[in-house]
Amino acid sequence: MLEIKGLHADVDGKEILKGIDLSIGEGEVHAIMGPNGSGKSTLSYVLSGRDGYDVTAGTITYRGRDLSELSIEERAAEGIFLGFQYPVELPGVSSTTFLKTALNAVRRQRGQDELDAVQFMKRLRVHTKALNISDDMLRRGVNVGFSGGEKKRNEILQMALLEPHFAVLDETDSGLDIDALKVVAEGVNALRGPKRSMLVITHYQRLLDYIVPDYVHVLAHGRIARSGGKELALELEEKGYGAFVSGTEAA
Amino acid sequence: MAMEAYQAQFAAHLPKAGPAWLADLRQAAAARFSAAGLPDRKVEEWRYTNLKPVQEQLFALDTAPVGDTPPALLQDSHRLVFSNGVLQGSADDLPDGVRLAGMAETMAENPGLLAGHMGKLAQGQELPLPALNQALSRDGYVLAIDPGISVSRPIEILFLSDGGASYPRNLILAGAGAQATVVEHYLGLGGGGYFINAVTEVEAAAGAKLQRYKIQQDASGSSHIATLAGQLQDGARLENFDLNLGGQLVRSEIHMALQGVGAEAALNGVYLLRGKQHCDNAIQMDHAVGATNSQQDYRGILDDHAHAVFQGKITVRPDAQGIEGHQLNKTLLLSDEAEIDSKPELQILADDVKCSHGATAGELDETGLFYLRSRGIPEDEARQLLMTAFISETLAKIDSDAVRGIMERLVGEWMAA
Repeated sequence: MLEIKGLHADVDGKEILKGIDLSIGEGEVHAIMGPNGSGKSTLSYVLSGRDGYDVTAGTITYRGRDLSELSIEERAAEGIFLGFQYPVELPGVSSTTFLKTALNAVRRQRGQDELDAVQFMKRLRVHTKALNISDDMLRRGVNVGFSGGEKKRNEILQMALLEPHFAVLDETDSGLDIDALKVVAEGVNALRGPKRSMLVITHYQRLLDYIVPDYVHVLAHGRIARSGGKELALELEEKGYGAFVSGTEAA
Repeated sequence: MAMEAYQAQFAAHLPKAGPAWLADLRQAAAARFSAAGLPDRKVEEWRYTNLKPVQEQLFALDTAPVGDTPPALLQDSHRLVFSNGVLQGSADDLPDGVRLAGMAETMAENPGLLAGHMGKLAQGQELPLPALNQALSRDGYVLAIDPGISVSRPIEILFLSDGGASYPRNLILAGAGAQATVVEHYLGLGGGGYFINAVTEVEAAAGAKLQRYKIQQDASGSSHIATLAGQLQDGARLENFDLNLGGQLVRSEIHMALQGVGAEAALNGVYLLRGKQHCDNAIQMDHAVGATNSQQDYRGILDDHAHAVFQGKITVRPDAQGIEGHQLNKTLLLSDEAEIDSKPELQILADDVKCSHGATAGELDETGLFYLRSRGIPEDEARQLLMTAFISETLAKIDSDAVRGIMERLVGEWMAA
């Protein structure tokens, strides 16, 4: 499904990713763990095609296609979704308008009919109910005045609506208390399926108690230092990153 | 141009129609303008706007009417159409207690209505362009509403232009408790290098409620200068909105006096400029007495080499206690060559006041753009969403649903162009 080979990437001329190899199969959930500055967020931005994150060597093949040929919005239409660590506030853009515009833009690019207001609201209701998203949140500007938990639930709502094949969740647990984390994790787990792969990026093992991965990778200094099963996360929790990352303090 | 040259031009062009007091008003205005001339950039209020391009056009009067009149913006309005500054036809079905007519017609039929009002507010040495308008104007609209009368249908005034120089002179007299909505629509045909210098004077008696909306879509090569001078008595309210889309050289000047306790003015505007357009909004808000309120919210989007200016001054007189005056100017710059000069100013001589001012200028939020695109929204559409969001807060302040709808449509068309 996703094949990353020898990936090097620069941000502002500084090399952050220094040769990443990673293979993710259909329906698999992979976790990437690593200390601050190891390149976790950079990898998520490179996968989504953000400007300023330049691939200098290596390849990313997604469902048989070279990802570098696709713009940000084309990647979204092809089924790549990035759940943001810090969801962006868009004052003046109502949440409902945003969600409808996004869903219809993706449907258009996928060759599906656009949904009218009634069809859209019907579909939206199913997800907002499950994720406990209020009408008030939908009326407000995107993420404006949302609590940390509301922002992350709103990310999962977008993921549910856009039905991606491959979701990258960048530190979805950051800023959440345990109750909010459970709601978000349940939302993510409800979206797991044989046709949907996920890359869960996190600093802490805690999230992986709720979103249990098939594989765990440790990212350090822009490379994958070690890969293993879900038990690797527990080992990390016990020993800290120091055991895997020479020259880096356990955070 | 030298004083003598101006005097010769005025001698040839001063209109003759009307009563003696009007002839005196014109003569005095011509003398003031001849002495002062067009303001140059050494004058603080004109620091950012160069009027040289209009110098040769000032006396290009007597232009033939424009051909076909486009359809009205508003449904079911009382409508007047001016063609290169001269009224065509008349408004029909006016309710009792409402006069809506041409200025020339009113001068001939009912000059007493104008005496003591015309030129009362847009006067003085510091206003050379209104003086030029006073001297040369032949027409404009007069709206006089008797006390207690509410005009239920909106009033739409179209100023259609394609050449020469025109000097619309407009007067709104709202009696105590009167209410009306007025749209001034300036529309250019062709690419024309014409010149408009318009003046609108507004007197709102106690408790009057006025909405005045200006939509400026003059031709791309034209120069548009407009002055709004208003005076609001006890409890009167004016909502003014200025949408600037057209013209090459544009100056919109407002002088608002909150003269009575409880008077309130909301002066908002949007400017959307590209190419080499220049638009200067200059506002003077005068809190003459206590317990008065004013708000200003001006936002703009500039592309290419466009240049915008916002100069806003709030003056609070020594005894004007318990007032509130707020001013905000925000500009989005889409190009490195676009420029905004924003100069908010507060002069507060009372001590119990709530005043604020703020100005921001910046680029389209790159992070927001990335967020939208990461959800599959194509870049052009994402940019338009963010631009619309930037303007929407100001447009939301328009009280009239019908007019807000028109403004939103025009803003959308500008963004899609």
